[in-house]
Amino acid sequence: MTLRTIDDQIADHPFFAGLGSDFLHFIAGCGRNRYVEGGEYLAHEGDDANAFFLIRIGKISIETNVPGRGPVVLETFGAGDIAGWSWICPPYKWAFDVVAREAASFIEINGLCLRGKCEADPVLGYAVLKRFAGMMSERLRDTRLRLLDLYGNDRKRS
Amino acid sequence: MVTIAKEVNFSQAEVPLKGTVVGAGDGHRYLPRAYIVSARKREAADTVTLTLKPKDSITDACPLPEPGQFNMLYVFAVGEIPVSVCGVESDGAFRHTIRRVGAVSAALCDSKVGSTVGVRGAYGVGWPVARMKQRSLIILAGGLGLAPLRMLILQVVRSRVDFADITICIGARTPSDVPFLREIRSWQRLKCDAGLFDVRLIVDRADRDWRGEVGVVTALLPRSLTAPELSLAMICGPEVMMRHAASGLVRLGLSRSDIYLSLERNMKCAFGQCGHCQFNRYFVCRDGPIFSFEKVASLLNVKDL
Amino acid sequence: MSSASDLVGSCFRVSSDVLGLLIRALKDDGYMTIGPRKVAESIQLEVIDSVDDLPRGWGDQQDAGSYRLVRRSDSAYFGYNLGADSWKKWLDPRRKLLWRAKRDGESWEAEQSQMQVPRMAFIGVRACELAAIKVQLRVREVTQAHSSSPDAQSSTLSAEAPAGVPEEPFLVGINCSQAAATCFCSSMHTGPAFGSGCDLVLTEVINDDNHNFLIQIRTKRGAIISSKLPLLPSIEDDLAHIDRQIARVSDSQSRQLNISNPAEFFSRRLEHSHWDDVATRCLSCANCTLVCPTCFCSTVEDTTDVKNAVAERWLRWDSCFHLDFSFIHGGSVRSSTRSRYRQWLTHKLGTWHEQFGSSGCVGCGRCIAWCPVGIDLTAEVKSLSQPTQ
Repeated sequence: MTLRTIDDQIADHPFFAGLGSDFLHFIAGCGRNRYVEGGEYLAHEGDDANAFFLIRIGKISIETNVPGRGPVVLETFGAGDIAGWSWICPPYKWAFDVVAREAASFIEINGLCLRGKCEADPVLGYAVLKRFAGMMSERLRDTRLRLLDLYGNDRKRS
Repeated sequence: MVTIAKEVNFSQAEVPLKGTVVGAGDGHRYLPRAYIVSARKREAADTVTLTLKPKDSITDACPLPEPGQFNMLYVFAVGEIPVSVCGVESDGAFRHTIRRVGAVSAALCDSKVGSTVGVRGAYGVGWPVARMKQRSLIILAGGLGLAPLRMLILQVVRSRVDFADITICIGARTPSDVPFLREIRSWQRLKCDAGLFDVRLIVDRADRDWRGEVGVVTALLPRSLTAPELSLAMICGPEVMMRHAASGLVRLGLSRSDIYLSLERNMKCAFGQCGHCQFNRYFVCRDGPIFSFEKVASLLNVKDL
Repeated sequence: MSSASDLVGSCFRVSSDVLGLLIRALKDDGYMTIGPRKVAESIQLEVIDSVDDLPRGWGDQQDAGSYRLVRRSDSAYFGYNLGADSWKKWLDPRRKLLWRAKRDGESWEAEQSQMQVPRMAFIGVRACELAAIKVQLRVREVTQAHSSSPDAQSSTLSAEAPAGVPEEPFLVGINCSQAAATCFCSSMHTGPAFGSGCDLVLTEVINDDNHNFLIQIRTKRGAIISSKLPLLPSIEDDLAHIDRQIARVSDSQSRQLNISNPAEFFSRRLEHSHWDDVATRCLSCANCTLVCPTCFCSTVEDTTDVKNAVAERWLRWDSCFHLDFSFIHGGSVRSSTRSRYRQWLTHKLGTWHEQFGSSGCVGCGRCIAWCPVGIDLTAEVKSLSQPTQ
C-alpha cells in the first residue's frame, strides 16, 4: 500500500473537482498534514484566520463560549468535510472556536498563501470562491432548517 | 284500438340502484376494539411508549400492522387520533410512541398501566418492504419520525443479509429528545460482515454532555453514492425536513421513485371516507401515509394544499 | 289486464289526481314518502302524507346568491326547480350515532349503534339529483373497495355490516319543465334527460284545462305500484312531448361548465392568481358544501355524559371550508380562504375524476344560488382559464 500524498488527497476531494492540476499542486503546496488529540483547539475565536481544514479522520466542532453554559457546540464535522472560511474575507479573524472533538487527522491549508494566489489570478480566485460560496450556502440552508426548530413541540404556536 | 306507447331503447326493466343508503351500517367501521395498556415507558419529557394488548382474546384483535401503517387510538370520552405503529410484540401486542401535543395525545400519554384504550386498524400503505431486498437502504428519521421507521429498522436488523449497504440517519432536537436512545446505541454496536451498517445520530442543539454530532439531520446523508440506482431511501419527519432530504437524495443520484416519505394530515375515519386528509388527488390515510417522492414532489411545493 | 311486469318500459297518461293515489299506494306498501314541501320560504324535502303537502302552484326564481319562491300562474305540483335540500340528507343523515360505550371502572366496552332505516320513497327526484345519488354511490363503492384489513380480514366483533341492509329507496323522478338560471346540468351531461335508476319518471303536462302526468315505468317495482293506479294509454305524441320538453329545458340553460381535461386543468392552475380574487369574496361559510348533493366529507364527535360513564361517537357532515378541517398539531394545513376554496373546487371538478372516475359536480347550481355572496363556479372556471395575472 502506498502512502497517499497531499496532492492525491486534494485531487480526489470532490470540493476541488474541476480545478486544473497545476492549481491543485499549488494548493497542496500550501497544505500540511496534521494530527491532533481530542480537545485540542485548531483555532480560537478572534484570532487571525489564516487556514482552513480538510478533515481526513475524526471529528471536529465549531464552538463558542456562552457565559454560564460554557462551550456550546454549534456544529460538528467529520471525514470529508471542510471547515473554515474566515480566511477569505476581511477582517480575517476566526468567528468561532474550532476544536477537535476526538483525535483527528486533517490537512491544514494555509489561507494566506492561497489568498495571495487568488488575488493574483482572478479566474482561479473566482473558481475557489465559487466552491466556498456553494459550501457556505449549504451550511446556511442547514442552519436555517435548524432555526425552524422543526422537532419542537408546536403547542405554543396555535 | 289504442296502442300503448313503448319507449325506444327501453325494452328491459331497469334495476334499482344498490347501496345508496348509508344511514345505517357504518358504525362497525368506526368501532374501536378494547386493548389494555400493559406497559408504559417514558421516552422523553413529552413522549411515552405504550404497549397495548387485546383485552379479551386474540380473535378480537386488530390485524397485525405492516411497518409504516397506523392505528386509530381512542381514549374513553376524550377522542381518537391516528398513531403510527412502532412495534409489534411476539404476543401480538402493539407498541405506540405518542407525543403530548393535544388533548387526546395527552390523555394517551397519561394513561395508566391496566387502563383500556380503543384501537382500530391497521390502516394505510406502509414502507415499500417488497422493493427493499438486495438494495442499499438509506433510512432518515427526524424527531419522532423514528417511530414509524422503528419497525422497519428492526425488520432490517433481523434479516440483515437481505440488503446491501444500510445507512440510518437519525436527527433529534436535543440529546434528551432522542427517542429509543438505548435501542439506537444497540444498533450502533451491531457487528456486520456483509456491507456497511452505519447508524448515525445528530442533534440540533447539544448540551454539555453530548459527545456526538451536532447539526441538521440531512447533514448525515452520504457525500456520494457508488450505486445510487441500487439505493432505496425511506424518510420520516417534519415535512420541511423531508422535502430537503428528498432533494438531497435526488442530488446524490437517487430516482424520485426510489425515495419514500411519510405524510401527516388530519384523519377522522382512516379509510378514505371523511375527506379530512385529502392531499390533492390522494387520501393520505388510504393512499399513504407512505408515498414515493415521485407521486408527491410537485404537490409538496404547493403552499397550503 | 296484463301482468305488472308487462308494464315495464311503458308510458301511460294519468290525470293529476292519480298523483295522490300514487302517494297512497306507496304508503300502503309501507314506504315512508318523502317529497317537496313548502317550509317557510323555500322548498324542502320532507316527509309528506298526501298530495296536499306538495308545493302546488309554487315556482322559484334563482340566480347567483338569490333564491325566491314565486306564485305560478298555473297549479303545477313540480313547478319549482330545486331547493337547498338534496336527497343526501335522507341517504346520508346529517348526524348519526355510530356507537356507544359504557364504562366500568378502568375498563369499557363499545357497542355499535343499530339504526333502523325506514323504507323510503322519494317523490320528485330530478335528473341531476339522480346523477348526484349515483355519484355518492360511486364514492361509497370506491371507499369500501379500498377499505382495508379490519373489515376484510376479521369476521369477528361486528366486522360485517349489520343485518337487514335497508331496501333501496323507491325513486319517483320528475322531468323538469323549465331550467332555473343557475342550472347547468346539460353541460355536465347529467340532465335534463334521466339516466337509469328511477322506478318511475313523471312528466307534468298542463294544458288549458287539462292537468295530466305522463308516467314512464322503468322497473318491476315501479310496475307493481303502477298497476294499482288507473292508467290510461298514452299516445305517440306524449313521448315526443317529453323529448321536446327535455330539449327545451336543455337549450334554455345559459350557464355552462366545459373543461376538456379537468384533472390536468386544475393541476396546472394550483397557483393561479384568480384564487386570490375568489378569496376576497368567499366567506368560507360552507353553504356550498352543505347544499351540494355530492359533498361527502364528515367528521366524528366523541361525546360523554356528565358522569363520564357513557361515551358516544357521532358522525356528522363536515366541510372543507372549516378552518379546523385540516388541523394537525400546531395548526391547520389550509389556513387561508384561498386554499380552502381551491381545495373545494379542484376536488369537486378535478381530482374527483382521479379518485372516483367522474366529476363531483352534477350541474344542479345549488352552490351558485345559496352562496351568500353569489360566487358562481362556472364563472370562476372561466376566470381560471385566463392566463394568471
